[in-house]
Amino acid sequence: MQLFRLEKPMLLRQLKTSEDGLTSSQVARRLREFGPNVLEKAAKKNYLLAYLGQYSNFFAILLEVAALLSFIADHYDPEKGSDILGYAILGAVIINATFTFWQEYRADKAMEELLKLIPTMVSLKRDNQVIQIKAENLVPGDIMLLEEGSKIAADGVVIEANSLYLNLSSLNGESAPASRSTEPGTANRPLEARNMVFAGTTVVSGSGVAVASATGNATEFGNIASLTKNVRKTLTPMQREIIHITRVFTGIALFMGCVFFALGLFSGKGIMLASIFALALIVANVPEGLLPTISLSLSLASQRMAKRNALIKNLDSVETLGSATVICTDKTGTLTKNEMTVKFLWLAGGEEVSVSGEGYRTPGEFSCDHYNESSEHRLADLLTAGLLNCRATIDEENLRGDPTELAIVAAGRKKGITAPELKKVREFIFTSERKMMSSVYQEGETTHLFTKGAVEVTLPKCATFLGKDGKEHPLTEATRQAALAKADVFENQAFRVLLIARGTKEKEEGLTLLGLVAIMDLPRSEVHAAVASCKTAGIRTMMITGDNPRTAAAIARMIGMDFDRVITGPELEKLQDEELEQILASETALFARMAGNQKLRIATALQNNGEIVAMTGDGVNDAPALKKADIGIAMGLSGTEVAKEAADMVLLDDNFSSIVIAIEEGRNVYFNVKKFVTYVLASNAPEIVPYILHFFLKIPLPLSVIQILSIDLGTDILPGVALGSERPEKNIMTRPPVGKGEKILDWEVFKRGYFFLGIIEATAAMVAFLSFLLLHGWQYGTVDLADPLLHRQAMTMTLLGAVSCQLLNAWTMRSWEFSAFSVGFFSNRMMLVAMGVELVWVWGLLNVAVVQKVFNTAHVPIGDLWILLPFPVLLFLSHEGYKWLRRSRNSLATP
Amino acid sequence: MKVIAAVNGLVTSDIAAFYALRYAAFLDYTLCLLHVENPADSKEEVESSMSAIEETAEQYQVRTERVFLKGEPAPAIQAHLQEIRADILFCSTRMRKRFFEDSLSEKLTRLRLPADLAIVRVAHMDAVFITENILLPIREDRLSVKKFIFVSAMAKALGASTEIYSVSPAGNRRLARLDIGNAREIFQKINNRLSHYTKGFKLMAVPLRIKHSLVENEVDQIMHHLAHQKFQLMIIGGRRLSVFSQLFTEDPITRIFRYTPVNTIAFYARDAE
Repeated sequence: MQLFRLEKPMLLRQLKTSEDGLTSSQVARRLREFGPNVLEKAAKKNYLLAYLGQYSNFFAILLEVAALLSFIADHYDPEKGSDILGYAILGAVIINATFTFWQEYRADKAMEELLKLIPTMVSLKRDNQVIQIKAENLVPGDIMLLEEGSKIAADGVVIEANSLYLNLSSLNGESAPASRSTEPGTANRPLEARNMVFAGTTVVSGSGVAVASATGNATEFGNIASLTKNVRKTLTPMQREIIHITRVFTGIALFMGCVFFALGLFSGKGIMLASIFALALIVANVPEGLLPTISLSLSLASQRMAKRNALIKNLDSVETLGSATVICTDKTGTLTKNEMTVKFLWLAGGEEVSVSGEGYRTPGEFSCDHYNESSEHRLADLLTAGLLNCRATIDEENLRGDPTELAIVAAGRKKGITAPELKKVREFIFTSERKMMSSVYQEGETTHLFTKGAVEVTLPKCATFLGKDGKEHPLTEATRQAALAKADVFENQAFRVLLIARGTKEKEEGLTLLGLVAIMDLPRSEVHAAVASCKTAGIRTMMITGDNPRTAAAIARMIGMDFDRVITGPELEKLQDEELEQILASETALFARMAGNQKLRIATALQNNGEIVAMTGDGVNDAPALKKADIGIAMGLSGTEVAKEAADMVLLDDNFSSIVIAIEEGRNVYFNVKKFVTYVLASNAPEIVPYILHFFLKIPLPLSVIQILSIDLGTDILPGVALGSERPEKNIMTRPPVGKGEKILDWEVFKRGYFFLGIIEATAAMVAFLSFLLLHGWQYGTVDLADPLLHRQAMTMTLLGAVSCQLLNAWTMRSWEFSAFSVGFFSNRMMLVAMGVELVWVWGLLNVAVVQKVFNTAHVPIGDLWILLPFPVLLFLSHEGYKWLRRSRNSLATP
Repeated sequence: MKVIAAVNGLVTSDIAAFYALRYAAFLDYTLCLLHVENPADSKEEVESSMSAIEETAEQYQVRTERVFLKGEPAPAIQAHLQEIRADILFCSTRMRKRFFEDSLSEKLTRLRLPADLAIVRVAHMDAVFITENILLPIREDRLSVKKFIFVSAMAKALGASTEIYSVSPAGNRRLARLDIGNAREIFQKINNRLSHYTKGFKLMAVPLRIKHSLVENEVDQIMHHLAHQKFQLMIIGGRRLSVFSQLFTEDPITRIFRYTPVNTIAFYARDAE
């Protein structure tokens, strides 16, 4: 039988302990048997190894081999400066590794925050003596002494209780104190047993004694810790994309490198020349600047999101947000204001009073159809009874107390009522089991008792009611039925209904019914639009709340949230995982009366259906679900530190609308990455084509490898980052979630990048190179130029051909679908800065001796630069035309 | 045929003996309570434990006998097992802090025994009385007939349902390649390969579920699954590692035993004759 079901003697026998506690020798042996009372910490990340690991991916290995080949070439032919190339390639590898490491690794502090909930010292009874020991030395069978305010270090069964109340919120999210007794439990699970205490919870009031039944990982809290620590997210869409992109580029680079190495050998160019060719093609095909650009772009996006109240903790999450297909959101505080408001009062005489003004500090009016002087008095009596039975206070700066009580205090303030100064002598506190609370006051010889509570619990304790005449009358069946019917009407409209009564004894019986108050946490005004925006964006929103189904459904209707069915916590418990997956595949559910740990099941089921899940949470017990979800979103205002540490994003204003704004930004990042991948691809073509032409035709080498690197790691980076900061396109939230059956590096990107824009750029580069040579007396067939300056000038022209096209490519790429003119010239200041820097760089390539030496460039007379002019314009207009054609085709396809 | 339970008077050995008792009750075997006398154990506690187990055995109508041996525990047990017809030996183990502690259970795992060996790590003292769900983690479809027989017998003996949790190791790159359709295909293949065991469980009327996971770290995933679901017992397959090999690799069982949140039995099938 379970330990919590056993009577004390049997329990002690089963655990081989006694009320005097374990003996020292028993403790020593149990410590060996069960181990110390500690939670398994996450294995510490070896950051050095993780960083070094960045040097072993496909990209890195390829470039490392290229660098090695450069150093070998330099060893055999030191005159060509291949060592500079080797260092440059190694520099590219280091930059890539550092940026990727920076993006992927961050300290996971959720476990550290969880461990703070476990005390370091505990009071125990051992060898019949009370002692204080380190919590880690506590063993099953120990007698734990529980006092008000103490944290509990292990799960245990209560054997003595004196008004013992615990805060179990770390396990079940319920902040109301839970009473504990010594009665053997009849529940099926320890968490439901009222004679159990748990590690990680605190004693709110009273005292008691408990026998430790489980320690360390075997505790219920150990479960949460284990779930928080061991949850491993699936790869984010961006991580998948990067792996995909790396694989594709590496494949192409290796293929072309091998083909040209073989061709070089067979055509008799010698192993050295063939190797250099292979090396050049590998370097040209690998977009060295891509990973740093992605990291910088994500970082900038996260800064923009922080300004809009969404604090991003994990950079990859930025893009994952754009892929979100389901948002599972809490109700209280996220969809609603978390400010309870009294909207209606019902007086026992039969009048219904409505109250205007929402929230705790907004003024309001009371209105009633059949209002008279008696109503006014009875309303004042009801509100006074409510005020005298509240601990909550509202002053200019602070709100203190329970939200429901704050609503009653706010209603009293609206009416201008203050509680009279009376001496409080006793309080019957509210618990989730009692569902009512009372305060007892003494005024001379007179005792006043004021009660509020759930109608079904408090009404049976009423014997009289305050009638229309302002006098007390015996409670008739008709009045009882009227009160119940009114409560039902209010509850059907999602109000929380409290019955207010008063008495003259120190017992909660024989009370006088004063009336009902209908309280609601109203939805935030901006949420309706945000939910509608999710609908058009193809994102399902699901509410997960601990509240009752009726309230949840009513709030969902008020904010326009669609749902096919309501699933309650107990119903979810009965569903098999496969059944849940099936339901969630075809229906949108609203989850009510949920326990925190059930969120994890919902997140897992949705992910198993291929959904990208964003999940909100604030409690300690939400931490596993926040970690499991693709995007864990913690509440910045009301969230616990554990939840914030477990989450990927923290909402600084707890507002659902901020999630939708963040999703818009996430989608924007996805498209911006797509834009700059296309932009980067376009510059690959003018890097590859010169080598192919040099190989097959009798022309001098048009571009050196170091010049290729100057494009990839120099001129492409800033415009790339600027494209990453581009504002969202106007259709961003009217299209389905990104990434679902869609990749960043898809055929469209290849087509536009390589085969359309790339070909124009390659043509520009080669026309510039060949025209310049022809204008300066070169004849076809001369491969080795006698004048090295002429060769360097011609190579500079090739480089400028590619760079000038990239300048306007960046501008036209600012919109993926719409005209570049529609996005505004000054709307992306970073792009203007990037252009400025590019032009300075071009000037440097032409005029600064050091730059010329490193990049093998030379001054080109201004009279020759006209050759470059037509191509950037041609590229710009061609791409604008391409987009226009796509728009026309799409508008024709859309009915 | 006998089921042997090594008893030393400690709570954990009592619980291991209760598992042995339920197993013996299901197979109608004799439960042999065995103790190797040594100065570390209190004879009084050992006898008190044996009495409590015998008392419970009566309720299950299981025949019991007591055996007291002398000498070095592991060889003494090995010698005793060679003399009798024993099906399995249940022995509790303590929380292992280090990778090598040279406990009795560790020594037994390295010996060639003529009986199966079940090493029991106790996390919850009451779990043996309320075992509703047993978890059987396996790598992909690797489930031996012997382990299947042991697990199904334990499930039947404890009246529990069983979940086979098939864990397929996969690195980041493989995970990046797989979509849900691919993963489901892999899982279906594993299900097909396990179908004869599924039939076996069905024949024995043991409720069975099969679940799958593609993960980087098997032990972490199993721990996560344990915390997520409601299991009272986990049965894992043990491997006999030499002292030498333990110097270089941490046996996953050691890590599982160190941090398991539920009672766990590592099953070592007897050496082939």
